[in-house]
Amino acid sequence: MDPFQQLIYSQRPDVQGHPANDWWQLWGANELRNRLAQLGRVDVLQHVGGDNNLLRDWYTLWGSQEYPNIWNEQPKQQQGLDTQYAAGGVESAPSIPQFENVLPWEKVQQQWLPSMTAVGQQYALPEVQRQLNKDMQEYMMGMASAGGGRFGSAWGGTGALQSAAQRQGTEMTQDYITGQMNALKGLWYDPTRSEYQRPREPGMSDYGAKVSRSGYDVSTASDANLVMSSAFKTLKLVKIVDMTGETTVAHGLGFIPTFIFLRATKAGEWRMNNPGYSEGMLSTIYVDDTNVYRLTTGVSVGAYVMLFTDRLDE
Amino acid sequence: MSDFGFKISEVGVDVNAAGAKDLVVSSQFDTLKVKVSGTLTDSLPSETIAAGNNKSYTETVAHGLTGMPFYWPEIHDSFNNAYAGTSDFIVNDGAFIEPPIGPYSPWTSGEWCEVFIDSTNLTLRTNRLGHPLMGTTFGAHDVIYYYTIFFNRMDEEVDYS
Repeated sequence: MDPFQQLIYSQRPDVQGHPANDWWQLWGANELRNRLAQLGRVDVLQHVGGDNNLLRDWYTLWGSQEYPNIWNEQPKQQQGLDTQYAAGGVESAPSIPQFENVLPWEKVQQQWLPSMTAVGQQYALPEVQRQLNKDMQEYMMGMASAGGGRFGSAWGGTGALQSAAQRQGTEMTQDYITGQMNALKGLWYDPTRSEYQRPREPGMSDYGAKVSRSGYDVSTASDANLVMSSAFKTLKLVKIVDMTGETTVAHGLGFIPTFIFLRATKAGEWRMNNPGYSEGMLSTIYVDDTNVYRLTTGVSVGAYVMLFTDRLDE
Repeated sequence: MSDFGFKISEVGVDVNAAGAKDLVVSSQFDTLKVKVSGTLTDSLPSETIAAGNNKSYTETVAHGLTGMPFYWPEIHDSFNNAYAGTSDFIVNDGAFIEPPIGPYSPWTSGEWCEVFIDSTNLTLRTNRLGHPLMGTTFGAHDVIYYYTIFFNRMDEEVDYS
């Protein structure tokens, strides 16, 4: 039985009893396209386009390997961010791009399939043709020896022999492709993927992130040429508070934060951390683990205080 | 799109449980982002300023940002002890020098510098004050301030907590 027919009858019992190819052309191909769309297999849909025969080949050769029974396959629900973060191994997930992103196995197969098919046919078809010639000769000889009256009807039997040879050629070609693909995956793709991924799977004891300035290689850039590195703390601004006049503001951080302030002079000039001694006034700004305070003598001038999440007292 | 970001904790701290103070970086908070580093220079002549008189020299750089951005280092009243000489004075070096007090206070005589910002410029101003009772001679030299201006605006309340 034709491999496609065998597959479709086993995976779709409802088709049994109907000509598989007719059902495929009328209904099956469109059903599979819908299923592929539900499964998000844009790669397959783009590859086969509107060609039902190409889709049938994909289903027979690859779909049957990728899915136990694609007709029963349920689309995966998109997981929430919390669920994704909670998944095991996320903390040690390799940094992108992963090998599968750079070179998907499906893409390798797509690109190799035409040449492998051609080679497989070169290997299989002459063998099949030789067998067909032999079978035809034996059949015709048999019919001829059975009597001239039967010779005319013998041509009908040759069609069956040719169909059988065609199926055998297809099977041999597919066997060849499957073997070659498995060899390619086992001998090249998987080992290459493994080596590619290995340096991207750091141990938990040595990991982090850094970003270099434009024009600098992040792997060799000096600390001064890094925009950010997880080896160092970065001041993280959490609040800017208007502290005009003598006032107290609760910062709500629960620890003594690093702070910087900008204060106006009597003349309206804004200066960083200027307590105002030079113009005869005292403008003290300080923090504890609860509040930001401003004590001031003289005129009430403006001030803004930047508060950072970084502690001052440790 | 309403709930995303990234954060990195310090070594040894679980990023999922880390408080803000234990994070190396977090997209919840703002960080200081450098816009430009540069130099402001007041080129001062040799001169004698009469008793009780004063002169000021200013140099500005347009920061090109909205509002008043954060700048560094802070300079308030940087006093040049060697105002009579010809050596350049780096304002940054004198940023935290306690000025002398009494009749020789820099606010009554001598040379002292201020840095301040407004919504347009960062300004370096050098003040030369003659002694209240006698003329004061100043040397020709440059007064130099090395600055960094950040993109972060300071004159606007924010709360990322």
